Amino acid sequence: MKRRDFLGVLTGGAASLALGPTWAGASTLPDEFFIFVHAGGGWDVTLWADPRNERRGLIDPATAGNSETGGLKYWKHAGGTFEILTSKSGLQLGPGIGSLYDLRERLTIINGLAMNTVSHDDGTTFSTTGRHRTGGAVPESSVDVVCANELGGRQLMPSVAIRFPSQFVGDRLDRRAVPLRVGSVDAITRSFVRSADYLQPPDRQAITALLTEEARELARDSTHPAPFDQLASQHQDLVPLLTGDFTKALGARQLQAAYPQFEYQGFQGGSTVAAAFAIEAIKRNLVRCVGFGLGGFDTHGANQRQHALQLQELFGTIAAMVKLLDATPHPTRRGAKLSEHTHILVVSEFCRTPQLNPAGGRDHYPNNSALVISPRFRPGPFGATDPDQLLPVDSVEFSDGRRAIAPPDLLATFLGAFGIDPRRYMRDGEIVKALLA
Amino acid sequence: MRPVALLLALLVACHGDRRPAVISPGTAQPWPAHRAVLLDQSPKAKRRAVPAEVFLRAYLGWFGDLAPYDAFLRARGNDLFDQWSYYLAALGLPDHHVDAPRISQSNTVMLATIGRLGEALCIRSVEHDLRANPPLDKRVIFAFEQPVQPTRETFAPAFDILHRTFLGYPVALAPIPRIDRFFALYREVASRQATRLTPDEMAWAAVCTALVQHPEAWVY
Amino acid sequence: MKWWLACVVIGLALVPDLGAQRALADYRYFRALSIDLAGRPPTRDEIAAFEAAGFDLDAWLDARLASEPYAERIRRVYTDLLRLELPEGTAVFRPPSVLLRWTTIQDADGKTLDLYFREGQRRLKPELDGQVCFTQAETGLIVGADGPPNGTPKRVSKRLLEERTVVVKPWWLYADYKTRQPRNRADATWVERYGYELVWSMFNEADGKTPVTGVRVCREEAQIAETGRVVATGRIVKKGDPLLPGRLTRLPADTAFAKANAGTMTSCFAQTGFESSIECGCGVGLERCLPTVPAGFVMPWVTPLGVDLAFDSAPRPAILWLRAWWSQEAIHFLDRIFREDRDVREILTSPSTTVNGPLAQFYRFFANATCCGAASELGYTQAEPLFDPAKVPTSLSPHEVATWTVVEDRGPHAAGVMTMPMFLLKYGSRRQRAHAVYSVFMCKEFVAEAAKLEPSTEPDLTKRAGCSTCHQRLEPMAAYFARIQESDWTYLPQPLFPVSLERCTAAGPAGMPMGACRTFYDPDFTDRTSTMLRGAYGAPAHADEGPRGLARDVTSSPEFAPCVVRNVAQSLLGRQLTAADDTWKAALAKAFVDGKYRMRSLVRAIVTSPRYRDANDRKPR
Repeated sequence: MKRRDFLGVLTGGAASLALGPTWAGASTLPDEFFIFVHAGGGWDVTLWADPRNERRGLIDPATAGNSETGGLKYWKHAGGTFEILTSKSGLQLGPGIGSLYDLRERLTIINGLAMNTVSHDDGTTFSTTGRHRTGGAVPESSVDVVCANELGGRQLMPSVAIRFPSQFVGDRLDRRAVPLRVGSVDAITRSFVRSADYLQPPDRQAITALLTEEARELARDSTHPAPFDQLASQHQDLVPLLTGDFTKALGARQLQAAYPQFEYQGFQGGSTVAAAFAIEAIKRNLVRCVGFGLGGFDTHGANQRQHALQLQELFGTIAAMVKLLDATPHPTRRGAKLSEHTHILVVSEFCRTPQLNPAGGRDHYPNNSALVISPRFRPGPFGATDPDQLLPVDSVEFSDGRRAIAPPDLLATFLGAFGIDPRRYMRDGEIVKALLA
Repeated sequence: MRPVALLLALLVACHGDRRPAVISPGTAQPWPAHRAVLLDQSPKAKRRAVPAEVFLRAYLGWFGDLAPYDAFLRARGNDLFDQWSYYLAALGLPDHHVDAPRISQSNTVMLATIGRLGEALCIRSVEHDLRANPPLDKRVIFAFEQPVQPTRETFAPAFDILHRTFLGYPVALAPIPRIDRFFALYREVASRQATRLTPDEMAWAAVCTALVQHPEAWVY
Repeated sequence: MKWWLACVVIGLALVPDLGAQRALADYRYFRALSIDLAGRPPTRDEIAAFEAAGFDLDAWLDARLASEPYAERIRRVYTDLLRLELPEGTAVFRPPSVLLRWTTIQDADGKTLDLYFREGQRRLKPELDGQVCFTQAETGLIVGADGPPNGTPKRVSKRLLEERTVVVKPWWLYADYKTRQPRNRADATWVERYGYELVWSMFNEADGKTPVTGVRVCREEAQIAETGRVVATGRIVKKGDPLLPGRLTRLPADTAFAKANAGTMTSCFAQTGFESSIECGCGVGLERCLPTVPAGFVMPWVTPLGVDLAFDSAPRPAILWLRAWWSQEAIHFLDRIFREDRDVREILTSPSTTVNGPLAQFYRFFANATCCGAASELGYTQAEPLFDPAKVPTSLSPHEVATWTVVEDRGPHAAGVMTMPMFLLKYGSRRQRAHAVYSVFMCKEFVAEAAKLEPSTEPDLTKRAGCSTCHQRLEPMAAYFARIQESDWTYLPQPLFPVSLERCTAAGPAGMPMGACRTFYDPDFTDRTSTMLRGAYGAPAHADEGPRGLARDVTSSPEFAPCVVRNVAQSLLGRQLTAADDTWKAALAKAFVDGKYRMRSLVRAIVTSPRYRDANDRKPR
């Protein structure tokens, strides 16, 4: 064995001390896909997931006087406020649900998530990682990175985060799971364009081979080889992306033309193209996880009047994604639809106060709801809040007693649904079997 | 200097006055007290990523200390360069308008972006420095007389200039195969058919592009 | 004799060979220092200087630690933590008294003219009061709340045009707008001269060739007086009153201030002047106002290397262009502290700031437009600002974007970055402001990991079960901001807004605070004998101390110095500090405090430490 190969084995061995995927020995490759959506700012759950149309306790319900109702597809007047919508699965929904109401029998809504924070940064971190920040630092990786680490290693881009609060923490995860964090879809595609007038693809391949070799040698020479190993694999990953039709099909303009179902002129503007990117990238089997953020829900003032319309637009985007997934064949499973193997998790950092503030807005509140659309989850409601103050209720038996469900429990359950042992990645949280189908 | 001194020392030692054959024992004196040396037991940290601002400032400097818009004008054309707005977030710059944090780990898009920027810089520098052939003091990147059909020996000094420019140290201190590796890259690219540049110019552009993207350029 | 010869030769062998090459670790260390302290990798010339005999690293370090790139590097630590920018779509600061709206009319020859006016401007003719200076009957057009006018334009006679409007040479087009005959008109050279750029549509007509030499405004807006007489019309306006023909808004009613002060003189710099005097306009060259249209002020948007090297800039309305300078104020303020190696505590304590032309204009003429709203019902009509306009340099013109001047003392309420507009808007609520200071300057977070939230009617969050874990600390800190309005910078002075105001107690006829009382005093802490200024209940004394009290508390806390050390060290080392660094961190913190909180010596200690030097982790061969 040559020294270089021996060292290659050594570094491969060192890399295997990292948290490799649990499926590594399995005979079938993972073929599930994940879409994570962050509704930035803190959403008003009384308008959709945990609807309140009655003045009671602290609750100031949305009314035609304090909200813009024109344009709300499912606002049905009921004594100045709105009529609550229901589903066979037992859900109660508010008018902000929009077109997602058409898919109500496939929705899993978790209410009464105990947040214990009303800070944007901390709430966002808690919702996506299951841990609070410590001194400003994020202690654990986010759920999309965990899924990418477990299931995404073979994809060209295991995890893409378009304004999604993705976190890659520590040294124990596969470096390929480092998320591509970008502000826009075009930031991904334009960087892969190369001029045809000067260097040619064989030249770039030679450069890549040289850089990969240099990176590997530097890794062997380092006490901490991880950064160079990471660079080496990322250089290798570049080659097919530079030579394929990736840039043509996944540019923002092309996506908007190919997916007119999404609303590109609304509150979110062009940011909605991230949803189209998710569909196209999954369809082409380029990614395992796509996360994107749609913001503007932090309505402390008069902008609370439009909150229901913003929610309607958000859930309209989700509904359009689900319908597209219903109509798209799975890239590797013959005869299957993408919707049977794509799992959507929608979170926000907290919810808004049930009472209106003097400016007519709603402030931050340490309660939350989340939405899951997945064949592996049982449709219907889960968790509850008290009727007067919208605070989480102790509704679930856990190993540490009866308490409210919290984000780490939801995230642990989400990972557990795909055979991922949450304890490998998360300090907190328990799998809630009642959530699973 | 040092080898000569050592030789002299040896000569003196060998040909100086002879010492007595027997050294009588005497009372052992205690060694003088030494300064306590604290062993640094702090964790040896891994390399840190070069901030995006540093790369951008260096990049504009490599373009001849141009302002961003001027660099864009110089780089664009032939599909070599888009607008800056496409690249900045991909390089890991934070966007405090939307609370997007700084990215301190590399990813594929970041490397693709550096590659694109690197190609633009190197192609335009080849056109400016080698093709237009201004005086050496007017060149930022290829500040050497271009060797004609270089051998390894004539390639090395020119490569050293590029190595110092992008990686900050002489190539002589680099892992041994580096000159050979890059010379092999040069020869491979130069062996292909000319495009808008001559084969040698394309080869220098490839060497430059590889150095801009080199792992050692990205950590420190 | 030969022994001394041996000594000489051995000594020569031990003298360092001045021609010896430096090791790779030396080059990497020098490169790291350049990246962190010079803002870029070393150039070839700098490497050659480093390699030369006699290179003095200490002297080189001293020079770098006094340079702009070093200041920028350390400033970046804090701007990454504070994130003092706002999303573009955030609608903040649109006071009518400051904004010049735009409409069009047709002159006697049928030519369309742009016309600027202020919504709410008091006018001589009652039928025009509060709106544009022409009726619908006169122009054929009705001007809505936004956008271009509606209707079929009618030609306005020359006499009427001259009676109602005047052409002014405005500040945004003329550098010498204060002179009797301004001539120094904006052109493409202004970018180089002042750093100020307008798009061509601002200084050329639609044909692209005819220069715009003035803007037409309603005459009342063109007034330059600094004081005006208060007018009370005696008008009674009720909500259900029908609109006058051609009007989309009701005639403005007399304010309480106007009724109480009719006939007296009031400042045209205050909102009361705008609301109650016909004689208050936009000042010389319209310098007290901002044009809303066209969106022709070129605003640097992506500026990682500073506004002078903007990577992206775009034309924006003046109100957004102004916002870019709010961020720059904080940046220049921080840069000065690090560049001059001032006491780092000044980030929170300093009364000083640095302003350019647009900021000077903002603080002199615009900032106080947010005062006083509902507060005028409680007698607050003249703003007591966080930045006293009298301390703003008058020599700076609004277009002097690149000229920065230090103002040593903004006034008695100023407290570092905490009283700057961008901080107060980014962190709009009192609790957000307190939290920002807590996390950035004390390295702590408000997290209640194991708190149980029970339904409760306890309004005092420092006592409510589950909430008290965090709010026991948060509310007293937030109380320091009780006198600064949320999402605003309007200051509520103590004499008019004591912590408990008798007229706002529940003893009044309504039984509970209503109107302005409810806006400023918290009903949850009101009874028949006392009330509580909103946000002050956690520590009423803190409300009177203001942000300066918070600055004092935070900078004198034992967490402050270790937090500075932690933030700077982590940024320079590129990693989190661990327990293995505790002794080192404590030593640095002690030295930082003993050295009077100077950043330069702290950074020098870090970058000359083995931790920094050995961060390039090559295995020994």
